Amino acid sequence: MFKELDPILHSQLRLSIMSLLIGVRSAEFSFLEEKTGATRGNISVQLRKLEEAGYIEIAKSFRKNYPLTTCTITKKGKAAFTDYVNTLSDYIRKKPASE
Amino acid sequence: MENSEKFNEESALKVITEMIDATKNDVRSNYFFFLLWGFLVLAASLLEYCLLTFFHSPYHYIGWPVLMSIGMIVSLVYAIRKYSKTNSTTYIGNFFKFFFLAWSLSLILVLFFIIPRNNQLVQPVILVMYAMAIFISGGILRFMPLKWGGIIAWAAALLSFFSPFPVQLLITAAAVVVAYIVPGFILKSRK
Repeated sequence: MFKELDPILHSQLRLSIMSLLIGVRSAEFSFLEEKTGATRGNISVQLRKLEEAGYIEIAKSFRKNYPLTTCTITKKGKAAFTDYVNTLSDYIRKKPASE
Repeated sequence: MENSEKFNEESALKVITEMIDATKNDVRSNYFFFLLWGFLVLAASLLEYCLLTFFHSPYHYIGWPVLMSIGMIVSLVYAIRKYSKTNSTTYIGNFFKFFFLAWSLSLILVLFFIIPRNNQLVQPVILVMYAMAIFISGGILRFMPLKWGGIIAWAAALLSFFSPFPVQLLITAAAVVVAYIVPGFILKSRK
């Protein structure tokens, strides 16, 4: 019996965002936009969901009078990501080759 | 990128790999500093060797303060420009920021006290400091040419301790080609 994959992370864009944030100390909104290629609206929605789950922290500030959104992965987010990757490895390792 | 209903385990693994790789590439952009300081130290060493050996100039050391000052200004301007364009902070980037700040201050402090007391130690000490910076950078970036560069610079430093001053300048010039310039170009080509 497989452990269920975390539904918050098991979404293409949310997983992309988390995979980017796990590798950096902090990232601006434009970085996530540039690396994922997703629309601003879609990224905003997914960031809110990740923030609500406590997986990321979002800081709002200003740079040269322009609003600046900076995201950081939380301890809970790191643990959830690690757990997701471990569960995923189990799936892939134990999955029959014919599937 | 939209959420897909067909998002399965294989797709998830692919997304993770691609995104983690996307954050790794930026590290290689540090080649600029290796090439800049490599060429500046090479020029300063050869210039001093020529002024000392062929022209017997009392100002044989003049290349060092001039070229090193240029290096510091260019590095500072480049780093500020690069930092203002960067929209993410990496753990490695943060480490290098503090490491090179500490390293530069240590080098300045050491040279400030060594230069008036014992000129014979200046080149070997510079090489020891360079070796440390290169070797640590190679280890952090997991880049073999820099690790070897560090080891070669340490060997050059050791050789310098037992060599006369003009020979030390040639050893320094040779060491920066192997330890800074060659890895810098390899790093640049792998961007």
